[in-house]
Amino acid sequence: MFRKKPFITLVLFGFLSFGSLAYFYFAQHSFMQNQREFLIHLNNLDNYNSDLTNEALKNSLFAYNSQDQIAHDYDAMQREFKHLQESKILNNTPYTMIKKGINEQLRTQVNTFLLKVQDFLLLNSAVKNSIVFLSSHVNSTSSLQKEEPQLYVQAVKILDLFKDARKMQDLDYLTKTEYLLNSDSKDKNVQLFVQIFNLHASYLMKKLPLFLNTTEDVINNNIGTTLHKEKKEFNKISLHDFAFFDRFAFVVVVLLLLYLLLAIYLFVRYRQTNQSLQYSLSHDILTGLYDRSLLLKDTLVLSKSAVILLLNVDAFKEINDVYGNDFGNKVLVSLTGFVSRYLHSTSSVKIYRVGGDEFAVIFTDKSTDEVMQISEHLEKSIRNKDFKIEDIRINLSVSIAVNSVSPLLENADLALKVVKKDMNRRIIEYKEKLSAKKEWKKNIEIVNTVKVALKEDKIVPYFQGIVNLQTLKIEKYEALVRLILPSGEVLSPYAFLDTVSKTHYYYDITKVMIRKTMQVAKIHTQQRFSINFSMKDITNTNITTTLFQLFEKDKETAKRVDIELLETELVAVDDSRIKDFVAQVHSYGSKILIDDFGTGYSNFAYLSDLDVDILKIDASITKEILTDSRKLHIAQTIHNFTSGMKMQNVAEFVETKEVALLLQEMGVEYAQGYLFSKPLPAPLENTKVTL
Amino acid sequence: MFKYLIISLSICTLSFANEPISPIPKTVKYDHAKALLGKKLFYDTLLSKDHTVACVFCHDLSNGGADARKVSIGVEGRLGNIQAPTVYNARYNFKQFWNGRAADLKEQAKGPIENPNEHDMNPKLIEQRLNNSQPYKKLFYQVYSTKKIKFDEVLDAITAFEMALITPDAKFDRYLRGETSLSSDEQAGYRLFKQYGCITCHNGINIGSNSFQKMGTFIPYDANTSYPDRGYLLKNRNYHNVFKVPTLRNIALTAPYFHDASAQTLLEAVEKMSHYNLGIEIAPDNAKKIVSFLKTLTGNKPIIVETP
Repeated sequence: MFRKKPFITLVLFGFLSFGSLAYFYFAQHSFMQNQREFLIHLNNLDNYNSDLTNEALKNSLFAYNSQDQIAHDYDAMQREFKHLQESKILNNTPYTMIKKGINEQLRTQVNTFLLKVQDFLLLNSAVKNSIVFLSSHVNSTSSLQKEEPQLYVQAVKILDLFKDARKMQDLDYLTKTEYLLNSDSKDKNVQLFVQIFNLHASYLMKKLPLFLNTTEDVINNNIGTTLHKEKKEFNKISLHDFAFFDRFAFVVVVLLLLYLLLAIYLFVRYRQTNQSLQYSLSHDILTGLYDRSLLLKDTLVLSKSAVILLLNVDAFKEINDVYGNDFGNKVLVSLTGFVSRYLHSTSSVKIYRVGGDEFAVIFTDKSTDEVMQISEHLEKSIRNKDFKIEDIRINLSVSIAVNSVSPLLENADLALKVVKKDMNRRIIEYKEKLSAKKEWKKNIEIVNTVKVALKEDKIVPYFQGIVNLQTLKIEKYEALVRLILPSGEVLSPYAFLDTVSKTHYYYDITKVMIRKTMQVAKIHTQQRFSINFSMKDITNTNITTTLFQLFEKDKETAKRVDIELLETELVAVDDSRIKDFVAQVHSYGSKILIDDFGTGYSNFAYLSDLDVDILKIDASITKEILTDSRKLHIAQTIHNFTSGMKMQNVAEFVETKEVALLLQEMGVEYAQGYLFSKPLPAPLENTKVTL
Repeated sequence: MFKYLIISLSICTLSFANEPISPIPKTVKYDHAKALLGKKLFYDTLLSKDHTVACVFCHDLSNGGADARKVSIGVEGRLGNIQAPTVYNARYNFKQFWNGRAADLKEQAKGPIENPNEHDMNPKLIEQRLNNSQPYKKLFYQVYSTKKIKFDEVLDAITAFEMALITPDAKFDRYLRGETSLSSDEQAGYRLFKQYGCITCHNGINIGSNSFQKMGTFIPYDANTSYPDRGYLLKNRNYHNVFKVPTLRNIALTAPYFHDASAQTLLEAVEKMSHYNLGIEIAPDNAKKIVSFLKTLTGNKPIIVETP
């Protein structure tokens, strides 16, 4: 269904869009992760730095404080700084400056800071230890307050200065130069007290400034500032990267959209191709109606109440012949449009084109009577409409068959055939009795009967005498075919001949007639015998050959065997063939009779061309010469004409004496009919008749 | 901001914010399978070049986790230059070794193993020996799912074992938790411990081991060892005789004292610290009281050591 090219494009587009989507996902994922990692380490470093600073401050203030947290933060800062340095994102070119900043300024700051912290821890412990010891040293010497109150007060004052300086983190408290004790006491304990006090006071005077400076350095480290600066710079740069991913995402979305559109387009096209294929499988291309195949399918599943209307355009072939197929097609399209519009208001109809000029309509919610009514109106509307095709007004007539009896289409077809033959009716409803099926069956029975009769020699000629009106003697016999049934019943040719005319049994019958008539003619040497030949017989070389072979065998008898031809059939056949036949018949001394003259075109000119011997005046004339002067006139004219042409006449169907007498009077040579003789199995012995 | 903080903090009383010593937990989480493998390695002389030395020789687990000898004795009877610190509660040390040159236990474990005066081994040889031992191969396979033992896994197992070496429920810890009370001497000793300012360095969970400090702040200390101090490592004269403050947990069990083993008893150690770091001769009565406090710091042996 897909043509290859768009399909390959689709696949390529799929690869491209999904590939770029995957790339986008992984690239941005790794970027985000790296970006996040960097920021986390940066924030952690900042936090540990603050925490460590805080802890240091706390430790410097509280005498008794665990240093565990400082140790922890110290390690954590080292670790986080290392992670920060190793951040993957810094390996990307845009972040070179940040990397430099971290590796140079920040690194120096962090290292300096951590060393300062170590200095701080050393000094802090030492100073604190000293002050704590000194406090307890002053207070624990219980006798001092009483014995040397001045010294005690001095010691407390100095101690307070140290304490304040440490507490306030301010060296200004130590500007007083007097921080050593002096005592003239000879008391050994007092001397020891002073000695130890002064040892620590000197120590503190030396270490406190260092401690305070170091503490301040630790607290006022610039790591936080640097980190904030780097963070700001980092965010600025990563914004560019985010912008890049934004643009990339846009491209990916566009690619995906294009892919989607292409897929939808191909899908829709595939659907259309598929649908049009299905459409063409069930629709007629010219008219757009459903086609015969769908009708056949539909009829299988239709409900019993469905009614079919089968419409055939009369003489459509002529329209095609005269105006051409293209024009004919346009007529059909125009008719389709008309019928569709006409039936538009009728619900539940499906219109099919079932053949070249044949349409079917299926009604599922109408009774047969309603459909008959619709058919009548439709037929009338079509008959009264001028179909304008290429500026030519065409009038159409249609035949319609309506049927509700299953099988729908088949029965409608039969009915349509019936109505087609009937010039007076255009619409027919299928009724069981119309059933050609029964007729077919009957026909087949007839054919079988003929077949058996031929086999059992039950096809026989009957003979009807032809009387010479002058001599009143039977001079000729017409051989008429009869079929004897096993019951003994005798069938006239009307009962079977037409039915078998399309089979080769027809020719067999003719052959039998020739042979048997010849046999009879041979015995009855005083009379002439005539056999009826149709045009089919004449044009069948097998028959003519058989005839002339038999003639050749018995030339004596052949002289007295004549051939009767039907006037009505003469025009239909190429005259040269008839002429040849007639000439050949004449060559044996046989004569040619024209049967039923006066029913066809009664073309005298034609007769003059043909070498005819006897003209048989048709029953329709003979019967009425007594009552109808015009018929008499016709008979007279025929007789006069044929006499002039040296032909003789046989008046057929003579049943009364009056007619016989009149014909005798008119000078008609021969007469045939029940007045003289019925057709009989054998010629009469007595050839004399009376009037 | 800091000024403000200082003022607000100074409103609080100067001292005794919280007890600056915290008890160690009764139990800690560690990887049992690894720790047991580590224990086996810890006791195994396979880790020394001539099969004469095991970790446990210098970190005597039945003797406070430390070495009773002045210096450790390594392969072929070689002498070390330092008094081995205890392995108990070492997981709480902020740094390892007296001079803190190892950041963690794993880094520390490498030291003695590769030290020519101690185990005198190299990773390759250890790997080779262990990989030739079916029992070890089986054990390592069970623990590390590895068919070829690596040195890193050896260190990892030993570290796991050391992580299990805690000595909980020392009397002082139980006192801190309110589970028991101290005797008057012990109580007085703890007060003196604070008043003399010992606590300014010996604080935290391990009562020390959370900072480097100077030995001999008042009276210069002349160490009787070639062991490198912080000053040597940092190339800074200010850090001369600066070492990691040792833990005081189980201190009663870990004589001799100081990095150079210059004190044989606790009393002597207390007196020496008073002398060098306060410039005083401590009253014997006070020193004794401090010692009785120090004796409350002995905890229970780790479960993993007690169970065979």
